[in-house]
Amino acid sequence: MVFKSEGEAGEGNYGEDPWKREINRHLMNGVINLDKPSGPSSHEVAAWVKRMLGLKKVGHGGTLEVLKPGKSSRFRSLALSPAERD
Amino acid sequence: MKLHADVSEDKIREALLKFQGEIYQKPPLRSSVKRVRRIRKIYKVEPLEINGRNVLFRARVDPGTYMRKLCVDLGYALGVEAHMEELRRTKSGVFDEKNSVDLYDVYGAVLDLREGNETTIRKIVRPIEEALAPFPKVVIADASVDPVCRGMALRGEQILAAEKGITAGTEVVLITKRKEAVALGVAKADCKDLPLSENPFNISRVIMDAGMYPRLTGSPPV
Repeated sequence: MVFKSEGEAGEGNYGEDPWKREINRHLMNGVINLDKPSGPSSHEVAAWVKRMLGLKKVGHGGTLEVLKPGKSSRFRSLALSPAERD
Repeated sequence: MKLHADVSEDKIREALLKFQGEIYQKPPLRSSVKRVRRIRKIYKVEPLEINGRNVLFRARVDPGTYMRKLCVDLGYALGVEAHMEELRRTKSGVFDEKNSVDLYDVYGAVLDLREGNETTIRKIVRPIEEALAPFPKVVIADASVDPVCRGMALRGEQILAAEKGITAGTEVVLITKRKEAVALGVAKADCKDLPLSENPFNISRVIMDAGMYPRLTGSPPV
């Protein structure tokens, strides 16, 4: 790290340690490295996790794979990022 | 990968090796990106098992490489055609198979959470900061956190520290003094010039919700 020699006088102590977030905020700002079963789509799995955790927003990222009509997608692992709970 | 006709093992190994390096790929018909030929790097292809027409291999590739397409192209190279039978992502960024969990783990942790036990869910859901670990970090002043969350540009003088090695074009993560992720952005200048710049980053994605840090006006956080 290259530090700039400038203090931050008069600033309060805001924010919180990412590893000690309050549980709701922890879930909203979290990711899951999920080993998705073969069969259901990533989109479906994301929706299930969303319901289980009572979150408003859950997204997924992972392997690029084109779903062929009539064929289910295979094994994939993906990360889910829950955000914005209510 | 499943080959559509018999090929000798040597030929298969040879073809796999030949695909290492930069290759052209055109996204498939049903894809979410524009279908223009693009270059992707195949860092490593390792055959794990060859059993008749079934070939199991491990490939380390650039983001946005279509594996199904790679199999099809390998088939053409071998002159027999082929398709992808099964795909498994074993590693991506900081995530790999070893630290992954399954849906039952998630469900178990949710049940624990409902009983008031947070320990298991905290092991399964990890802070977003862990996923962003590979990005170089730029520490910004507390006063500029909320404005950035609300979409304002970050001024150079608000940078407290910037990781060495950042050059123009580097994708970085802006963090607070407490190491919370604020936003992702692309540096417009080299590390040492960033603090002098009026608008040093193209901010691509805001991560933190507005309201976590006090507003510019100095009013206390709600």
